[in-house]
Amino acid sequence: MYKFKYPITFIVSTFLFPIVCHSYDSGFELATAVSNRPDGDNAYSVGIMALVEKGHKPRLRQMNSFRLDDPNGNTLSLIRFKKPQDIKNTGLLTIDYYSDKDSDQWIFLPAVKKSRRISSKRKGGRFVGSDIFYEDLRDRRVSEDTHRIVKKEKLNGMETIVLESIPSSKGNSVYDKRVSWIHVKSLIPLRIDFYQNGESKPVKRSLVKQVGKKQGFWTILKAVTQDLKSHHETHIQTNEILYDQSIPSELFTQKYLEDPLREKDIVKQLSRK
Amino acid sequence: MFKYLISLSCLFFLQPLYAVQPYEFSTKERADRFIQEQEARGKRSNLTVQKQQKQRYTVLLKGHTQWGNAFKQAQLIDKQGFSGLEVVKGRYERGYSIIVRQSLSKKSIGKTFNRLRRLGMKNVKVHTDKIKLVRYIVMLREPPAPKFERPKPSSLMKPAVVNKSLPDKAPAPEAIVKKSDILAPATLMSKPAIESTVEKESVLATQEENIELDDEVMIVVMSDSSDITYEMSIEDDDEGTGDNFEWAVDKIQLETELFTRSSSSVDHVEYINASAHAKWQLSSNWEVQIAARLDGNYQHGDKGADNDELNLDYGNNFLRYRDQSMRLTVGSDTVRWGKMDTFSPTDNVSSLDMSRGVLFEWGEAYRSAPIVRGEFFFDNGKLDVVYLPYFREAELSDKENVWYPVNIEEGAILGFGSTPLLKTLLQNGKIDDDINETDGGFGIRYSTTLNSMDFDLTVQRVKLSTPYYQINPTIVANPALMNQEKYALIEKHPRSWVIGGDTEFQAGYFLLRFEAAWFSDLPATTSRLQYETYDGLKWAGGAEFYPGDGDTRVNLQLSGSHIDEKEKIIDRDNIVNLSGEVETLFSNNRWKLSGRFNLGLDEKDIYISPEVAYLGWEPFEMYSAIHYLDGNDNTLGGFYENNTMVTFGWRGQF
Repeated sequence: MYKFKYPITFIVSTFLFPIVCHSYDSGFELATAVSNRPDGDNAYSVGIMALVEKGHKPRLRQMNSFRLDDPNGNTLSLIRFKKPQDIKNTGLLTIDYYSDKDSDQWIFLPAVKKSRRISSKRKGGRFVGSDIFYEDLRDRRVSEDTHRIVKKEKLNGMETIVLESIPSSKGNSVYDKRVSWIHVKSLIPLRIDFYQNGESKPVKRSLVKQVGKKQGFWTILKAVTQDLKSHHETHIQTNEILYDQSIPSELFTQKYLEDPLREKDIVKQLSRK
Repeated sequence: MFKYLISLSCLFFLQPLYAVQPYEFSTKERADRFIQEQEARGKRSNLTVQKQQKQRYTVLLKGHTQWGNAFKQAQLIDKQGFSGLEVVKGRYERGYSIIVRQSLSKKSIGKTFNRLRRLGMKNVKVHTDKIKLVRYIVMLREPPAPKFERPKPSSLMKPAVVNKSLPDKAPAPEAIVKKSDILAPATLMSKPAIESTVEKESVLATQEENIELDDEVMIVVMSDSSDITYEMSIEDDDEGTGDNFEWAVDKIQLETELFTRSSSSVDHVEYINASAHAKWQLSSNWEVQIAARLDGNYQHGDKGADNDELNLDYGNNFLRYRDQSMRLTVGSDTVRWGKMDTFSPTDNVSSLDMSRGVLFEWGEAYRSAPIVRGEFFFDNGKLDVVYLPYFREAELSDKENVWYPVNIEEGAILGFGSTPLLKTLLQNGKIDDDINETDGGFGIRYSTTLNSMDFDLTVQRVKLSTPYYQINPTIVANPALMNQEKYALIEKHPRSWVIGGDTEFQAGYFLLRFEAAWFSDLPATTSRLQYETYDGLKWAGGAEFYPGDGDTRVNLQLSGSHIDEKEKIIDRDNIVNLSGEVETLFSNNRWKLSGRFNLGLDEKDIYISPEVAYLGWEPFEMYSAIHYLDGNDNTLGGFYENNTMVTFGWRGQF
């Protein structure tokens, strides 16, 4: 499948390769291309998550996110909540291994002043009450799904390829199926429909609202995930993003997770750039 | 011709009545939305699409004939904080150039240019070229400004003053649009706009050809009515001096507690709690924090049951030093060791808060204590060394409070239950709770992660903060002296060696935690009423999981405590409990239903507490809970069974 890990970095980014006219012979090839889309060796972003429900004031959360692809092919990420006060400094550290090993994940809860492990098998739970499931936060291997190109379609005037991805084994996903509208030029999935519980209609939809080119990387700046039953929406907005900075691998340890002030120096250095 | 003349004359006559104001938008969708909003207000508008050419500025480092030299210079300035550099050949000159920054803003380019010059780069050049952009111009006809009549100056006022203070025209009606939607009124745009957005695929291609590195160009891929920009005052980690200071109300809580058992002497309690901290980061290494908390407890009931308490206490007040290899803390702090939630055998360097009995949420029942702490970090581990220069016993309420661990009226002590002897002792004597000032001991803990398992090992020599009540040995030796002795009970905190460890790992969908500790000196009272300390073992094992991989969290814990007594004791020498919590969110996470419980497996000991909370009013919560307690006299549930209650409260952080 592809990376749609915007809660980690709020982004899906890509170079605009000369693959503009590239044709994909199979769904697997397209999914692999999407998965391998360059997004820098590391990234730092500041963003806002808004939980939107009709008739209610949106609930906003500010997050700082760090991501690092280490030389071993592992992906390390740290999400730090900055606002509101009741979740301030709550941190989520994730190590997605290149090998088949299960991810390691810890959460730091400032109220109890200690970090604790989280089950990386957890897929269906909602991340901080949003419409994003824990599964959406993690890298999903291309081989975990069977991919099929459905058709080519214009989406808001944009040339896309519709890709259907079905889990290759039941139980490796909370979804029965994903259907993605992959933008041909940037390889960004502009729309993803999520199917669950054998239903013929999607239960959830992710839509990209804005992308921007940041340091040469195409980056999602605004995206919305909609629960199509409850009509609850999660808006993700990237206010700042920096790629390929001097982010030390030590940041992705419990030492930093449990001491938010430590990352302040790193953020200061990044902000000066 | 006639129609044309009429139109012309209308335009001519309307012209003075409507001020035409152009607004420029980057997308058609935004322009349309603006038009709709304005039309709803009775304003008229026209939309025109303009293809504009804009000046683009590129800061270059030029003059390299070899790629290697250009690359070296790029590496050099990369270390100075310039990112997104690109070395190109033949685009700006025959040789190699480094593209440092591209922008439509001359001002931001100037900053980059000057910064490079200050770094001694003499080959800095600014290249300009033209790019094509699409703009949507809305010509809005504003209604005329209401005629403003200048009031006649009072005969007492000087005309000069009046003229100066009054405007010649009324202010133009303000356009009600989001600032972020509009780049700028077109007429005011003397400088190139920063943002540029396009919708059509064909135009996107043009953009891609022309702009490759410009960070400031945005492209709307999809848009609909839900495309909203959220404004939130971003907490910036680089805001200057204000960045080094922060303060917060960590918690504020108001609660009313209604006691439901007719046997309880208390009818209701009102509780207030507030805690706050202020923190200064003196440098990247040094940090200072001051914190305090206020607890008010107002107890009402039968005659003699009334009791008011208001206590101000210190929070975590410390001076802290940190570098890459260590973190040192001197002052007062709350140190939490161990992996378990409800009963953590290795967590003995912290001081418990027993002032509200079971009402604290698990994890909240701790008080700050004086410490000197060093945390030393290794490649895959951490050594945590804590010294407690002044012992702080567990925080207890007033003796009249329903949560005090000794019930003088009933003649019972938490863990012992009620006996005729204790009743006589307590009704005739007092409790000596004057703890000798001494150090609290020390603890060392090593933490590491191996094969996705977190391990901790600890050795401690600490005074146990939970109070134990020794029957005055003089009275035990000679009961006839009962009335002469000032104290019937003496509060004890034995100093014990603790050797233990804990681990946490994932097994399928379960997260498993285990923890155990051996104690050299656990207090007990023999059947001869002698106070003794014995070796003991405390252990716990727990599992956390999410049934059905959903949003409901279940955390179960089995725990035990065993005393290796040498003679018969009146304490419970083997205690086994099943405890846990369940939590689920519903109604789009605006409501939370949760429950905590503790069940004795060796004695009847019941504590069950369901709670419903409304979370939708951030940052505050409103909640209601039931706390049900029951059990044998010598258990927690039995000792506090008269404290079964319903609570209603409000709590928050900001």
